Amino acid sequence: MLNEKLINAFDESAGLRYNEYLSAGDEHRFSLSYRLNRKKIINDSKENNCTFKTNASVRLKTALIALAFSIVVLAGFTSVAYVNGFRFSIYPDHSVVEIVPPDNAKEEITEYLRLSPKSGYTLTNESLSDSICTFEYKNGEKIVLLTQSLIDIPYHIDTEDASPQPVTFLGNEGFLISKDDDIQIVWTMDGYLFILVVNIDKNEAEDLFKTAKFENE
Amino acid sequence: MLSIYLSMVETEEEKSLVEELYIKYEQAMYRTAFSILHNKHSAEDAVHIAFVRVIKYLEKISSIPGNKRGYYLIIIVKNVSLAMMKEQNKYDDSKDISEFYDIEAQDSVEDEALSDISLQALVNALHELPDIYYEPLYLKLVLEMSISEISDLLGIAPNAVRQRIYKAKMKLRKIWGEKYAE
Repeated sequence: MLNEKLINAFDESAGLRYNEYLSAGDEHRFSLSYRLNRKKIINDSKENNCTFKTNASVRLKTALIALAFSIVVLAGFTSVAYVNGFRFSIYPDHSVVEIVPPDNAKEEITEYLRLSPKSGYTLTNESLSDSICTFEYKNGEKIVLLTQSLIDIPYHIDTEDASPQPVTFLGNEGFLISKDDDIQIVWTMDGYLFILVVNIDKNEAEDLFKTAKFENE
Repeated sequence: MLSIYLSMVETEEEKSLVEELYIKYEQAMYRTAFSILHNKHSAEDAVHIAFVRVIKYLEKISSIPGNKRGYYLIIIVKNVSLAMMKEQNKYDDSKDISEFYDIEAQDSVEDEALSDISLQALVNALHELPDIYYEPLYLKLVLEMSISEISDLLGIAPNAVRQRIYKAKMKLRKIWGEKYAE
């Protein structure tokens, strides 16, 4: 057993060391790609960390959701919508999108959809992991943010004051949400989920991605 | 009313811990990463990678008292940043992994009699340990993490973890012997 005094000394030293990292400074405004990743991590932790769900909370949650659906159905409201096979659970400020994983759904990202260097866009930021990758491209004022992820978890999307429209993108069924000056296009392709956020129109985005290719790195 | 109950369940048990970590520590983690990498995109990547590692051991961080979580997160993001810097050939820690020591076979600091030693002297001695040695020792002895957990969390080989812990103890003995032992 570690001596209590030594633990106290470690704690005090840790506190001193931690304080050294707390120097005041301007608050950093994180980039869009980082914020998308942050949202994804928070959502992932909510959906996947079963160890954090106590049995009681799961039972209570299940009962409450069932009750909520009963009330919604009895009251004649629609809280669920389907667009091109994507299931939307609609809340006032966002929707939770669920996708039935196709047979070819990947379990790990092994190849990345990348824009051609000839597209005129330059890769300005990227974040890679086994389950989600984000690529930010710029061409002057035009910004393309592509997220490629696995399909196995629900995706949270901002649908406040906006509604998803079914679209076909690169020959794949998906949906489009137009909000402010940006559009989001979501589709599945080759066993992955793609979320594209752009400040150009859908046709221009589609033309841009016609020459995109999967690469291993 | 119903939505309030639903949001309470979500917030209390599943969502709030991770969100709280982001809200409380994200900026400090970013500043730590930026101080090492000097590039805002790389620093953001380091914070993101650190959080991915944190999520992997969410149970561990939930068991750590609130006042110790900040330092735990700083340790992680700092090591992620150092690894990124090493990848960019700006930092060489090869000397840290050049040898292998088996810490399990060594006498440990915690076995020594500490009853007659003042707390402040211990704090001072510990504070002289470089971070590279102090951090794995802290994770092992205070947070009771296994070598493989520390290895995973810091992104270094298990042997390097063992070696750093061993060296930490040796350095601590030396510091103590030179400056604080009567």
